[in-house]
Amino acid sequence: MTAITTHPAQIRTDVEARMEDGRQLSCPRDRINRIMEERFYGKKPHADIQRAVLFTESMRQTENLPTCLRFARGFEYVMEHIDVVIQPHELIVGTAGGAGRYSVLYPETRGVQFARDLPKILEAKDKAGYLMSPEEVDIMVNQVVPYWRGKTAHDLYLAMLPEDTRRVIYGGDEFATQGIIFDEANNGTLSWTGEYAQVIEQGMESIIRELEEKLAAVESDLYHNQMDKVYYLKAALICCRATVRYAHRYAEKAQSMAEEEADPVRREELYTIAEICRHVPEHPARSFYEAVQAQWFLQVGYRIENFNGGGVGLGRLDQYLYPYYKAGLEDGSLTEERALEILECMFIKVGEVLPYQGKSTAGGHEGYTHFEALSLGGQTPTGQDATNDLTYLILRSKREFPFQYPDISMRVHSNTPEKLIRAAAEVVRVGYGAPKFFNDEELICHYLSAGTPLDVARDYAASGCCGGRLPNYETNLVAVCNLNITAVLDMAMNDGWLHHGKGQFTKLMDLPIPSAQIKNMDDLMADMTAAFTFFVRHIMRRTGTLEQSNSLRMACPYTSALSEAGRINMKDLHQPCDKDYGLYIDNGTVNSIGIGTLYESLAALDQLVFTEKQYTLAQVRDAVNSNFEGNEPMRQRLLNAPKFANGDARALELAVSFDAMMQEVVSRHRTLHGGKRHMKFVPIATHVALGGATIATPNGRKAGEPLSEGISPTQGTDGLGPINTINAASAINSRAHDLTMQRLLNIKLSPSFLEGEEGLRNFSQIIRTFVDLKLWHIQFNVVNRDTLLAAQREPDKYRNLVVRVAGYCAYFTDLSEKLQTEIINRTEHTCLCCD
Amino acid sequence: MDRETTGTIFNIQRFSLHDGPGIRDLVFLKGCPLRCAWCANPESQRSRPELSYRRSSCVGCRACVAACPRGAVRAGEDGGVQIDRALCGGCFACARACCSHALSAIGEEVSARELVRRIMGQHLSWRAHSGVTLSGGEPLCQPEFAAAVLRLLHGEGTTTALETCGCAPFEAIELVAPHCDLIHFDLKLMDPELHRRYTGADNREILDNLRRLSRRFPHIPLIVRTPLIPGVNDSVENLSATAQFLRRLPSLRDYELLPYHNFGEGKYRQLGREYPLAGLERPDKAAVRARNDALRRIIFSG
Repeated sequence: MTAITTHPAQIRTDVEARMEDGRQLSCPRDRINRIMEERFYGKKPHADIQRAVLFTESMRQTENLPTCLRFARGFEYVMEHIDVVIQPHELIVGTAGGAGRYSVLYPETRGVQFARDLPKILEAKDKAGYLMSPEEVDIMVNQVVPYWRGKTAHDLYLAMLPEDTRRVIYGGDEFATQGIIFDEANNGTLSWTGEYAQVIEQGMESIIRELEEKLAAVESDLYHNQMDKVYYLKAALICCRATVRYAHRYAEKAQSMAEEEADPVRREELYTIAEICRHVPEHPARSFYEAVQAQWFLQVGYRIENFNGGGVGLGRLDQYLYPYYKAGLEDGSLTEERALEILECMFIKVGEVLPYQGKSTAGGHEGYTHFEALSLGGQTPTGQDATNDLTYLILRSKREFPFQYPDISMRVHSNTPEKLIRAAAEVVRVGYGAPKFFNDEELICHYLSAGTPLDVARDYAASGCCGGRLPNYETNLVAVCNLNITAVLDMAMNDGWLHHGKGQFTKLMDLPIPSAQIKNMDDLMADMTAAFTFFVRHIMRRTGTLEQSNSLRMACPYTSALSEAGRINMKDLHQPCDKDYGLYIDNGTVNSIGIGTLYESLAALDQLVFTEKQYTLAQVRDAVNSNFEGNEPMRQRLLNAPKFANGDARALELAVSFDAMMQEVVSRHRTLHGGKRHMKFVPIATHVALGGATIATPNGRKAGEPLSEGISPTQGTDGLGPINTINAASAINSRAHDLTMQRLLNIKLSPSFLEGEEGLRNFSQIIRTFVDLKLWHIQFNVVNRDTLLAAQREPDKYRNLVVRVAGYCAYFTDLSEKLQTEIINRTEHTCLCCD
Repeated sequence: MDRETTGTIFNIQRFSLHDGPGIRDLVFLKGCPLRCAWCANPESQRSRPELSYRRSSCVGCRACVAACPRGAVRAGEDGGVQIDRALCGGCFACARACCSHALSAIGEEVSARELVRRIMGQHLSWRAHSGVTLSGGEPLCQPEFAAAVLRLLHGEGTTTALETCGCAPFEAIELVAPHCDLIHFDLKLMDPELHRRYTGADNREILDNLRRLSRRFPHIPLIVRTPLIPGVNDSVENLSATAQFLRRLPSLRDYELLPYHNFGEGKYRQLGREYPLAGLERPDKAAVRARNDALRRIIFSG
């Protein structure tokens, strides 16, 4: 029974009000509205085949060259032949896949799947569909895919994977759908934050000059073990020049369009575009407009080159663009409105590109996942607060034009100005999940413990859904592996047998203590430790294999040219780094999914089986194995057991000891280069997919229901408010080792919480608490439950409703019903006034 | 002394936004001398723990029927159970047997120290602008306990607030008030007869206490609130009289009208009681706000 105090009126967010009244998302700037209406709203993306076809054509011609040169030639060929498209009204130009919204296809990673998936696009009535013509599908299936059979990065990876590891992860297929481990291998390669500052400030010509000098130096003093540097340098040069050439193609196109343009205003704009594209990215930007255009050209290059799993990060945009913004305002050549228009044109370009997700990941990544992180705020390399006027301007854009791309990541720290938190709160209360918050107090520590110099660590940028990257410094990175952590408990209760897939039950290993002899939590923990160690060993073998196979099959000469670490080491970023400069900082190869579900299960078992002895472990196991059929009272008792989310001391103690165990096991492993391995807790949407293939769990969860998300407790169990949830999230981190990576925390707030001056102040208190507790990440969904229910009933009316899923924002109506329901069931934190 | 001081509470509500400044923890003390017809927390009224039955959580396992030593819990026709409250001896064996918390004991005895330990189990940075509010029930029904809790909270560096109906011996107020940074004082009706009819008690002591409180502790900000119940206390006469009375209070900071709501109605059912105001409409919030502003002008004008 909940005590009741005064009750606030239901408050709608701007986004909700707009949906209910049938109004579109709108921006105070007309140009932006016109672009959105003509090219964005309700438009399905097309899967563009140009990159795949052109790259494959080039690869056919270069089979005898070293890998990095082949990739460079492929990149160059695409940049020279891909369609040059300038669309109406746009100020920022350049596309990696034609007009409108598009996906780029990268056959070299897992492209063999295209033969299976693309034909389905033609017939699919799937929510997350793409447009393709039968001719395009035919070209992909019959011309592109046949070349790649046996040659993709994934083919090599699977071939190199030890047989038993492959069986654990993949079972009988190549798609890892058995619900134990969701392997992201080659669903993207380098998840990266791009480097932009040097090209904007000194032009691509400065990098070309540096590479040429290095090449001359290396070649003049050549001995055999430097030939790889020669290939790197030549490949890098090809890519830099190709990028300049690509910009010049846009200059030519704009010039010719201008000459034919009837509208004098647009004609002038096109002449300006032509002038800008002739100048950047080759030469240093002379204005804010040029700086943004140069930035976008670099982003196009990243997209052409690389299947960026998590999206191309924009880095610390408010830092490297600020000098241009400031100068423009000072000399009168720029106004705030004009700067917003230019930025928003670029943001739309970011939103136009949607990562392609084939059938095998459709349940794992829902709703056109992309998260091109744009970092705001944070600290300068000397540790001062880095907030500037451009930081506020970008937040203003995100408030006035609530467009979820790029994904705003606010860096906060103990010295973040109150004004900035309030400006961010005003965006949060618009109600589309942005921005998310990264805690400098934790991330910088993480980088320092990995051996990063302090000034470099302070310059980190957000990357992907909740990771960080050190621009110019970090090298390498392979895709993660998501472990369904509830599997270790299932195995401990079943003597090493595991339920998985559709009704399979397999013996994976022998455990130290037979389940019949498990007498207490220590015994159970011993078995779970053995099971976890087993999985980690396979994940490490898998990750080591992927590091090897990617370095053999993949190259990213363009990315490696723009990266200072690449240039100093003269090495492709896919290659092992020898630590002359830069570090390979593993950002979490063991990704635990469903940790809240597991912790709640442990607390329930501890109370009902080991302490109160109401049931035996065998009774609970049998009930769980039969999905609590005929055993509802037991399920109720399990559901009502003490919760870590509510601060129960024993439940927290169990969670901490499990966390310490995980960190202990993972800390025994090293990366290819001797660095520490890390853990993370980032579900994307895999907690729904993995949960779908997971039997019932001893926290009372029924078979097939989603697992808990990130480090959040099970949806709906955190009934004591967000401060309490944040405290619990902090308390379950054992900090036993410095493996405190990427702990994703998602909190749902009712719009009434953020109302008025009081709302801003209270929100700030949540962020301050988050900073003080040294949590990694936090994000908010500000939406009324009724709105989500209405959106399920009337998807058409709410098709632009954006929600925060797990490190990314997505259109609610694009999500599967299961994930929609999961989001609805998350506890909505309001003042808890009514039951 | 504090270690021995115990009291009965029935809820700690985290993250409360409407009972004092900032984000607050709200502690509900059990027991109230009044029986307001509109009470939204009927479980707060009696001082002893009592049994609540929530039908929607009941899975119909009937473990409670077997557990009850007096036969007060019987299988219901709807698949749930029925409680004969006349037979119930208040042992809560049924609640302990209940798997789903459909049956539960409302009210728990706790020491002041333990209560403060529980409240302070959370990280503190947000408390700089926030704090803890004692509510009820009527906290002044347990004055030693309330004072001990508030004193300990002050010792933790937390700001405190009290919500009271003012129906208590003034000695209780003198004991508790010095440990409060803010006092919310409810004033329901000015007419003694109507007050008795709707709350079961005379209001002379309440009015007297309010006057004395404001004079004796002028430095403690005072916010007086009236739950606005249509047809009961929303007449012009009552509100004018209230405003005139409030003009004389030196420590008054604000006067708030709280629009009537019926969110507590379901709880009467869970406790096996009748809701006295069944069918009463909720007033329009905007109109209440406008009236509130008009009254503020009267109270705070020169």
